[in-house]
Amino acid sequence: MPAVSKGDGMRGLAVFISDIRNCKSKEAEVKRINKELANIRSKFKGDKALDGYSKKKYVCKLLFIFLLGHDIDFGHMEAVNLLSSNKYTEKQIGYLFISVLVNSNSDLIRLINNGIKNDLASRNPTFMNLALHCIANVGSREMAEAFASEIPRILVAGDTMDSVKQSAALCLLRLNRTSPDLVPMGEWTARVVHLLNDQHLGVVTAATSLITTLAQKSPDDFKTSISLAVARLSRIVTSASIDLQDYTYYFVAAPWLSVKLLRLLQCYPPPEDAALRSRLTECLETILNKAQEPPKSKKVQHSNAKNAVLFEAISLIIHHDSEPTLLVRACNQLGQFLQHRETNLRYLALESMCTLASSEFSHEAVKTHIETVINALKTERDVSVRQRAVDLLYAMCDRSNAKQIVAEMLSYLETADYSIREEIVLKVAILAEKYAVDYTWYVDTILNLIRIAGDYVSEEVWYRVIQIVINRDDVQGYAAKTVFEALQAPACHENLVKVGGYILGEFGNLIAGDSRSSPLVQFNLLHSKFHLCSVPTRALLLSAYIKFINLFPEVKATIQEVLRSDSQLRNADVELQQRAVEYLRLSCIASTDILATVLEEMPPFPERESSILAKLKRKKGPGNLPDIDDARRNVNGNTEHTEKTETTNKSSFSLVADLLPINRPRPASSSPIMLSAGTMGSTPSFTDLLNLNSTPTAGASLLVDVFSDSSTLASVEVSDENFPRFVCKNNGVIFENQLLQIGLKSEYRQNLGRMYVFYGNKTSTQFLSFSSSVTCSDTLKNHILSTSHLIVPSQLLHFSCGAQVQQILNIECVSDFTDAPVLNVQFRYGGTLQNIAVKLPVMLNKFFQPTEMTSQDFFQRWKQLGAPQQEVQKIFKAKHPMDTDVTKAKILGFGVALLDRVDPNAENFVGAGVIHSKNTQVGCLLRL
Amino acid sequence: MLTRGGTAQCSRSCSVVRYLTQTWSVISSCGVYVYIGPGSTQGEFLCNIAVSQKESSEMMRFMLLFSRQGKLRLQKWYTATAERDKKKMVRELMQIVLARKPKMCSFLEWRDLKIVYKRYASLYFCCAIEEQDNELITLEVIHRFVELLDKYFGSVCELDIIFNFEKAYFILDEFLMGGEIQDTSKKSVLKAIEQADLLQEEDESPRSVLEEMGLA
Repeated sequence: MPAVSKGDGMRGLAVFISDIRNCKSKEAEVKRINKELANIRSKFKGDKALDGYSKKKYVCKLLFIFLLGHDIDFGHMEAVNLLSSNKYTEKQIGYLFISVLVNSNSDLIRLINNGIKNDLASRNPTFMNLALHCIANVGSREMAEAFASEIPRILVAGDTMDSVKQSAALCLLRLNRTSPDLVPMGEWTARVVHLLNDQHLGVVTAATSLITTLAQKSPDDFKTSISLAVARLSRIVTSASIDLQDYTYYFVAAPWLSVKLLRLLQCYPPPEDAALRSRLTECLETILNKAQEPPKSKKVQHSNAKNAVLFEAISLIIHHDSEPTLLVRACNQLGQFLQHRETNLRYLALESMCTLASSEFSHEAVKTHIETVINALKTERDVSVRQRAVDLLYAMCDRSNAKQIVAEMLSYLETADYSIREEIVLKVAILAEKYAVDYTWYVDTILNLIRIAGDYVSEEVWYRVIQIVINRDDVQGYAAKTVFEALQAPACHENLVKVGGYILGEFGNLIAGDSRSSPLVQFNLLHSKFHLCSVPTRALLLSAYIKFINLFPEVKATIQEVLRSDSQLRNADVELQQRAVEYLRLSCIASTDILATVLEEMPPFPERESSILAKLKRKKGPGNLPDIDDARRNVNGNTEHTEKTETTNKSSFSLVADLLPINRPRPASSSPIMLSAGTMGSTPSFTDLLNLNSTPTAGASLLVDVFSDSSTLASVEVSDENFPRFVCKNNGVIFENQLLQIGLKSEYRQNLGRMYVFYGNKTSTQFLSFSSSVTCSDTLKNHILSTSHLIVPSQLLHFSCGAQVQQILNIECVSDFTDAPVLNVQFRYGGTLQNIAVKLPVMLNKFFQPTEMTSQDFFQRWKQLGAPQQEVQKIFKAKHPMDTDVTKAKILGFGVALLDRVDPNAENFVGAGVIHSKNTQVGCLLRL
Repeated sequence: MLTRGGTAQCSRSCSVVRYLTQTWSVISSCGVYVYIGPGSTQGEFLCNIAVSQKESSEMMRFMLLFSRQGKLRLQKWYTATAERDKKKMVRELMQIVLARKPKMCSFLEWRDLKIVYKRYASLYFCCAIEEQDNELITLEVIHRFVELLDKYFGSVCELDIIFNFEKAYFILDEFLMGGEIQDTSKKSVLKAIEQADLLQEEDESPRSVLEEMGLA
């Protein structure tokens, strides 16, 4: 046991800790702990009232046990009791226990709040600090409710001690983060800004943190802080003589405060006032100058503190993005760091340069360091540094250096760490597409990617290469030739077989003139890979074969032979079997004309955001990825983000089959086509191919908080005015106001349903932070609709004028229900938050399956359902004269089958249907 | 859309499976990872969504002290985190950090956070900060905290922190609050702690050893 330092009195605790440390095994430790827990429990339960000291000691032991990783389920009450002790150490242990172990037991919270309230009112600064720390540590909503209005008062009161002010500022900051709605803005805000002028640097530091957070939320209210922050920064940075005493850290003046002030300034654009602006520029220049001065100390702390300020200054320079000279100086400084012996600095330099690369003023300057960065990629021993180098290469890439960078990345990929391979693959794919001058290079690059790192080439990547080849006829011949050559390799990756199969199936004819790649050679080459491939690839190859039959009549017999073989026609896999059967039939019975139409070349794909880019964004999260898509470097018009949501909508319906171009209007009677549509529908790989029916390719920032603010939704009035209209129909407009139109299109099959929700922006401006969610009332959740199947693909997007966005909801009926779910939509329009709640027409009758039955059956069943609770009769007056056709349509729309000539009375309407839910199926009969 | 084609019961159930998988991909492509399947519950749904929410502000998320042997010595969390998640995160991070070699850089990306760590003797000090945070100044936050411990305990060692864990927490609380630095001055922080100790000594009345050990 070490010599205990000052002020320690809890010998029992120390003995206990030693015991634990002396335990030879885990079992012994658990045994010792259980013994101690039993002892403490008996003490707490015992008749003898414990004195404060013992209570403190036991609570402390419990805390220790908890921190060892064991569960503690008692002692909370004793800890709360300690709060009301007037001995500091007891109070302190009580607060510590609470802040480490608090649970949201509401009774306890009330008691804790009471203790805190007393201490805040005590005017004893140490007690007040303890209380404020506790609020900040716990930060629960109940505490925010109780104290959010009190703390600002303490913060700006004239007689508050400095240390309490610091605690109050940070406490308020914490509450503002956890429950911003509860922290009232008011006249105290103006006085908080003036804390930047405070004598006490500790107070200024704490206040700067608070102001930064507040300014991020409401910049206008804290504009005055700019000039104060610049003045303060300038005093710290530029006046050499000033003595900051204890706030100087290893010869660096107040590094923490400087960093915080620079961060606060990043909440705002460059100051408009010219004098202020030049003063700030002077500060930033001084910081850059200091980086060139010889170090005042050899200690790493000195250089770290100095460079921390420097990096923050560079962040501000990049944020302002307005002073070319500063940007270029920053870039040069970072360039020096790229070769620094400190790994940390190399890492940070690579990271900062990534953001510099996106500024038009410094992009060129960043590019000059390309050799160093490539070298880092090859020589750095730390994978996280190499990762940064990859990021930077990606960010600095433009048309001039794309070939070099892509080549370097490809060669790095051969040895790259497995953890980052997929990301590199995505980046290479994007760069190759974006900066491709001629598309042969693009095709070569992607095929290389598959060769080097086939396992890491995701679907998006090879979908994309097919999309591009199909859309650009200048590259089709080359692509066919290249894949043909690549497929010659004895072992090639399955992804290559997929791409090869697709491309040869479409464009194999372009190289068929050469005898070395005659149709039969092509077919044999593909088929030699067939048996090594997985089911989806084989399915794709079968489709390629039927396309071959159309392209090259001379191989028809060979292919038919293959299709006819038992391994195809009687394949254990239903999908393969079905394809083989249908393709074989198709090739036998259809005339050349029909074949040529059915198996025509695929139409071009609609242009939209590269699915690869979307994937990379998902991987990295928004903001993380340097946006290489700004207009300046958008060279290839056809690859830019033309996020046309209409095309997405269309494609989700039309791209039923991809190889067979049946998405064009054609008579429904052409039977072979219907047949293949059926096949396609049940083929995962095919409906998904090229990812055209994935709806939310939208939106750059997909990760921002989608489900926040859900508490505010409750107050919105639920719109259900259009709700009744959907009783008998499935499609239509459910909601419309001046801004937004919401349309629905739904389909039901048995107990499952799918609802397409279309959002139309009617305004001429963008909606920001658009999000939607579906909520169900509690009863609906628990008893009726399975929420796990009521799925909300939460799209979040900034969608622009006139645009339409689609969302898909999947619904499953578990058992019968009466309520309906509510769709909540939220977005920002012109700065104000709009909340819309619409009742979704998901009704029980939607899960009707019509049933046909004879008159006899009907009445037999009708009579069986004689019990009173099995029958509901309602007599109502018709508002309109009854029109037979309208009524019939309504009944059909209601979901039941209309049974003609069943009721003896011809005026009566009769219907029958079965309601499908997950648990049961309920038959329903109806007479009107 | 739901069941296109095949009338056989088998092909129908097939497409339902697919339709669920599709939904999964739809949702995950929004950046919100949601597991959908027969077993998924509302709880999981919400919990997963909470994970992907981003706070805009920058601050320290948590600080951990652990030994070379992988024993956690001190943990401080500045955002509400479920106990189960804490344990998982600690385990994961310890594994990553302990596996790193001495010359490697002190920063790494982990989940959506940045990890800044430094080793002092047998102890690793490890902070999780947010995307925009300043790594170098965080490194110095760690150093300043070590200096404070050193000054208070008089050349601090791991044992001091084990036996006086509550003191270590008090010092950390005086230094950092809600994930933000409260006072960077060594003097102010130590003054606050020493004042508290003074109060403590006044409180204490001498006790017998037996009583201390809970045997009386």
